[in-house]
Amino acid sequence: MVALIIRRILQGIPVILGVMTISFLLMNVAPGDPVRAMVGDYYDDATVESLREELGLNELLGVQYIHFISNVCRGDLGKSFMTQRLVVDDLKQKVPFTLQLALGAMLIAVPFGILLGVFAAINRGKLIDRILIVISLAGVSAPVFWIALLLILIVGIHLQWLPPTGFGGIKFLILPAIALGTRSMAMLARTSRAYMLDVLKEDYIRTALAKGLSQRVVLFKHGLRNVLIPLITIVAADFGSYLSGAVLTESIFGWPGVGRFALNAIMKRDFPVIQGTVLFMALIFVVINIIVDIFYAWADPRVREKMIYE
Amino acid sequence: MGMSFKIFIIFIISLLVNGCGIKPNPTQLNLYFPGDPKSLDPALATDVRTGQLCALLYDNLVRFGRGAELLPGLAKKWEISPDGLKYTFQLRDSVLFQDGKNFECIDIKKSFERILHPKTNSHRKWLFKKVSGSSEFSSGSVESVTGFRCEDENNFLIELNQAFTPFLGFLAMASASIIHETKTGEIIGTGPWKLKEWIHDGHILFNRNLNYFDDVPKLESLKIRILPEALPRTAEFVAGYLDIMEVPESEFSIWANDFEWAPHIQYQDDLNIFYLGLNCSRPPFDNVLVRQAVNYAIDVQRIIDKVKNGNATAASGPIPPGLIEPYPKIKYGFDPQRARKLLADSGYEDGLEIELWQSQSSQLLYVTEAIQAQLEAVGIHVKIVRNDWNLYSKAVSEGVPDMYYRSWYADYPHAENFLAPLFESEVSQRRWTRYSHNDLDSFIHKIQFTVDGQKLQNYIHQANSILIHDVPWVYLWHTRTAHISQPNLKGWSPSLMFNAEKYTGITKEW
Repeated sequence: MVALIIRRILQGIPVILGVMTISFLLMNVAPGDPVRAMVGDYYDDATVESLREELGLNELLGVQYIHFISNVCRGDLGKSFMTQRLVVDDLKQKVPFTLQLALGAMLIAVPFGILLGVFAAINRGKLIDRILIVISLAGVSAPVFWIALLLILIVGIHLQWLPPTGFGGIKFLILPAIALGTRSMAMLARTSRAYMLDVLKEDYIRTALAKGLSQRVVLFKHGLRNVLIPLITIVAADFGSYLSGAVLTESIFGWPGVGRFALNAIMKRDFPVIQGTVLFMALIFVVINIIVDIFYAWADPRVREKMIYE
Repeated sequence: MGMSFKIFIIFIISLLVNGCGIKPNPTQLNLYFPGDPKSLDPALATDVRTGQLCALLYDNLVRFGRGAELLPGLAKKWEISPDGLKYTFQLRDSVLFQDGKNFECIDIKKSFERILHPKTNSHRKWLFKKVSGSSEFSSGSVESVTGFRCEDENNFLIELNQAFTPFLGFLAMASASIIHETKTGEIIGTGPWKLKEWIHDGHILFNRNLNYFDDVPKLESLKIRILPEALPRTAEFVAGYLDIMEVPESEFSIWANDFEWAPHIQYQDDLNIFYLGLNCSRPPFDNVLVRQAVNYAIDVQRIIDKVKNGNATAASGPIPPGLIEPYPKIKYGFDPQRARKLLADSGYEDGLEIELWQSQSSQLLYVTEAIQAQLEAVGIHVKIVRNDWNLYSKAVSEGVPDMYYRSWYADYPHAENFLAPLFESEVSQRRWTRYSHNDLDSFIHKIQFTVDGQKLQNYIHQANSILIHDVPWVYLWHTRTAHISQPNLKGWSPSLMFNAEKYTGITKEW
C-alpha cells in the first residue's frame, strides 16, 4: 500500500508541472496588461515603465518561466501585483473558508443524496419514486445562482431564519452549503438509485434475502456497500471542484474563498495570484485522486491487486 | 440509524431556531464594498475603495467637505502666496497617531517623500511632480525634497516650481494621507477608525478611535462587507444587516415607488461624465462633421429617462456642473435629419459601419444597445464589441475602437481634472481619442496656472467651447446616484467626493 501511495504521488508531479506550465503560458499569451489594472486611469508613462521593470514583465518569457518555477520549488508563490501581499498569506486566509463551504456542501449532498437514491430504488415505479426522479432532475438542472438567490429571498428575507449572506459561523454556512450541494445531492440520488437497482438484481442480494435477513440489513449492509464504491468517484470529483473554488456561490453569498480570489486575479491579470491558485487547485485534484485510489484499493481487493501488479 | 437520523434532524432544527431573530448590532455601522480594496497603503491608492479606506484610517492636511469645498484637516489653516508657488500650512496641536505617537511636522515630509521614493513604487508620484526637488528625489540623486520644509514645529511649507491651481485638491487625495511607518513597516494614521480585522473578500472591521482629534465617531464600530452581487446586497439591506446601500439601477423604480422607503432615498449629483470617445485619427471620425452628426443622432435625454430612470443630467460638454459656471447649454440636441445631412455632406450618404467597444458589464449593454439602435436610424451600423475591462482598456489606449463607451470620475474637484488627463494633445494622442488642438492645450495650461477665479472660469469656458465645437466625444450625461439608508440611521448624507466621508456623526435610533 505504501508503494502504491508513493507511486501515485510521483505520478502527480508531472501533472502539477504540466498544469503550471500551461497556466503560465496561457496567462502570458492572453491579451491584457496587469500594470494597467494597477495604476488606474490617471498615470504617467515613467511609473508604468518602472513597474514593468520591477515586476520582471520586460524579461523574456523563458526567463520569467524559469524564475517562476524556481520560486515555486522554494515555496515562494510571490506577491500579488495588485495588493503587494504574499500570495501564500492570502491563500492561507482563504483556504479554510473554501474548505468549510466544500465540507458543508458535501455534508448535505452525500447523506441526503444517497438516502434519497436508495429510497427511490426500493420504491421503484411507485409515485414517490417518480416524484423523487422529477425533484432530482430539477436539482441537477437548476443553476447554482438561481438556487442561491431563491434561498436568500425565501429563507433570508421572508422567513428571516438565517442571515441572507456572510460568513462567521454555522448559521452563515447553511444557505451557501445547500446552494452548492444541491446539484451534487441530486446527481448522487440519481446515480445511487441506478446502481442500487442493479445491485438489487444481483444473486447475493437474493441469497441474503433467502437466508432470512431483514430487508434493512440486506439494503444497507450488502446493497449500499456495493453501491458506495462507484459513487466515490462522483463525490471526489465534486469535492475537488468545490475546493478549487465555487465562484458563483462565493460571490452571491459574500464568501471569502479561493474561487473569488482566482476570478478577481484573472480579471486584473494578477499573474502571481493566478499561478498560485492554479497550483493550489492542481494539488487538490492530485491529492483527491490519490485518496480515491487508496480508498478503492482498500475497499475492493480486486482493484488493490490490479494496482500492485500495474 | 433511526436514532442518529433523529439527532441529525434535531440538530438542523436547533440551528434554524437559533438563527431566528438574529439582530443587527445597534452600535455598529454596516456598509459594503462591491469588491475587496487593493490595500491600506496610501501609496497604492488608485482605486475608489482604497481611497475610501484611507479616509477612515488617515487624515490629510486638508480634506474634502460634502461638496467640492476643501476643509481643514491636520492643518488648521493655510496660506497660498500670490504667485501660487508657496503653500504654508499651520498644523493642529495635540494630534495623536493611533499607536499613541504625537503627530509632528516631520511626519508630513516623510509621508510625502515616501510617495516619491523609488522603493515605495507608488503609482501616485504625479501628485507631487510640481514640487521643487521632487524629480531629483525620485531619481535618487538627492536625499530630501527641497520643496517640503518644516518651517518650525507648527508650520509646513510646500514650494512648487510652477504655479498649479488644483494642487490644494491633490493634498486631499488618499495618496496624500499623513502616516507614520513603524519599524516593522506598519502604516499608522490619525484617522477616526482603527482597523480591527480584514478578511480579504469577506469584510473589514474597524473600532472607533477614541483619541481622534476631531469628532470621535458616535458608533462604536464600523463593518464593511464585501458583496459583489446586487441582489444579496438588497437582501442584506432589507433584512437590516446593511445600513446604507446604493440603489441598483434595475431596482430604482421599486424603491422610489415604495412609500415606506422612498423618503429614505438621498440623491447625489456625481462629479463625472459618461461619454462615447471617438477615434479622431482615422476615418470616419477624423472628420468633425461626422463627429457632430453622431452627436445629433443620439437622443441622450431619452436614454436617461428610459434606461437611467432619470438619474442623470444630459451633458453639454466634458466638465460637470459645479466646476464650470454657468453650465453651458446643450448644443447638439436630438436632430436625426441634421445628422443625416451632415453624414451626406461628409460623403457618407450610403451610411457607414463602426465598432463600439464597451467593457463586459451587461448593465452597460442597455445603454450601448440603445445607442446602436439610434445610430442605425441615421445609417450608422454599429457593431458592439464587449471585452473584460483590462482588454478593453488596453484596446482604447492603443486606439483600436472607432468608438468607446466610458466614464471619468473626478480625482479632485477642479475642471482641470476633466481636461488635462483626457484632452491635452500629448495624453489624448497616446491614450484616448487621438484628438489634438494647440489652442486647447494652451487654455489647459492657463487653467493650471491661473489663480484669479474670474479669469479661471473664462479659460475653462474657452477650453470647453473648443471641445463642444470639435466633439472628440459624444457627451452623454453626468449621473445622479440614489442612496438609501435605514430609517433608524441619523446624521448621514452622501458626499460629492468618494473619500470625503469619515462616518463620524452617524447614530442609530432604536
